[in-house]
Amino acid sequence: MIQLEKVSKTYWMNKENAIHAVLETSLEIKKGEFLIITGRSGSGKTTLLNLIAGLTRPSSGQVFLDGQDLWSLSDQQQSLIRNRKLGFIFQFPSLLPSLTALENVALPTIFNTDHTKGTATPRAVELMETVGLNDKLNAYPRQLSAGQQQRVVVARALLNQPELLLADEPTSDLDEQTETEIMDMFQQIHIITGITIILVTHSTQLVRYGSQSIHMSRGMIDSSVHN
Amino acid sequence: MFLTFETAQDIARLSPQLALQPLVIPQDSISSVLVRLEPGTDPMAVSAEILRQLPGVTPITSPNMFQAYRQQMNGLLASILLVLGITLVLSGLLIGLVFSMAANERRREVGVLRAMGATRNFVLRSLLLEASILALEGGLAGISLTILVIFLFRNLIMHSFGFPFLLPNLGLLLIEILVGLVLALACVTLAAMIPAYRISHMEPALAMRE
Repeated sequence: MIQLEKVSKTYWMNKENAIHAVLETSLEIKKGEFLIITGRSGSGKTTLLNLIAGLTRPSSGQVFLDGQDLWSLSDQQQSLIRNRKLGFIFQFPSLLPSLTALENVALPTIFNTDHTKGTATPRAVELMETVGLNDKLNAYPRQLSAGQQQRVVVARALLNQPELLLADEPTSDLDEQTETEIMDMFQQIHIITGITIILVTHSTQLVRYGSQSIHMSRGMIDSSVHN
Repeated sequence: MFLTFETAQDIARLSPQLALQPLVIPQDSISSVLVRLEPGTDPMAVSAEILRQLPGVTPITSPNMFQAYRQQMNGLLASILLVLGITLVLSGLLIGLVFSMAANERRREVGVLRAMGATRNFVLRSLLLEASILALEGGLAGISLTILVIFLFRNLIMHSFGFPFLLPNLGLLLIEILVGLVLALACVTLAAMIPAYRISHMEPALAMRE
């Protein structure tokens, strides 16, 4: 499903100083996998996730999604892929504060002409039920706890029935119990839908949730384990 | 005193209430016509032509009659336009700066929208639409405030300057309001263009970074 060929990402601080966030990394992720990417802060795991998602252009190398070179596509085609095939869960609060939980979940439909308001709202309600928040449909993000907000983000990520779910440290701001609840939810989604999940975390304890895990260090994959 | 026909008719219409003696101007009456010549036209030649073509009309050539007045007015107009131009440029720069700061604060939001499938053009259009709505709101607020100030202080202005305060007719006033709104819209949209373009063309991952 996803193939990275000798991908590097370099951030230039000035003309002489550069940070090699990801270095000559090759990786293949098959459909239906639950990949956990671990590593310390600054190891390049979030950059690797962004490269996989096409959220940042590689300095060198190629990223293929379903055999298609992501960076040979136009901005419109890339945006369409992000909308139809990918679902994102970020570490930071990414709900729009002026929208209710339900409106936030339905938000990706404004970029998807396949959905009409008639189909988007029932789907959003259904997903809110799936994440156990059917009583919070009209709540604003500020009225929800951090765990509840992250559940809403998960529901939003699933709205367009993506093929790939990308989660960047989704539990880093949560307490241990909520972290377990969210990770159990990811596992359930993976089992029920068979969706491919790539989850980045600094916690090695979460590796047990995945079907495969890789560990990153200094911008490179230094170990890979199949569970 | 030279007035437009509309202004003269307005004065006549208001005179029964405001003047000691009402002013009566019969409809279609013209006592004199001011002929404005293109630069470089010979006034004497025009005068002779009027005399030839319109018997009974006495042309009076007065090339110097308004020269000093016109020079003063042109100087004043040029100064006003210069100040307005500088104000407009400074306003544009300030609006651009403020919009840049406001858009920068919402970089992460833009990054999230891009990740969800928003194209660069969608983000650019949204930011410019927001700027346009704010410009129209600001323009309308400014015009409303101007009308209020004129309404409240017109007597003070009349007494301070020592001449009557006359508004142009409604049609011209509406055109002036429309021009004001278009100018506000153009100024803000142009000022917002650079920051909006910069943020909409930023990589989503970079936009989401702190």
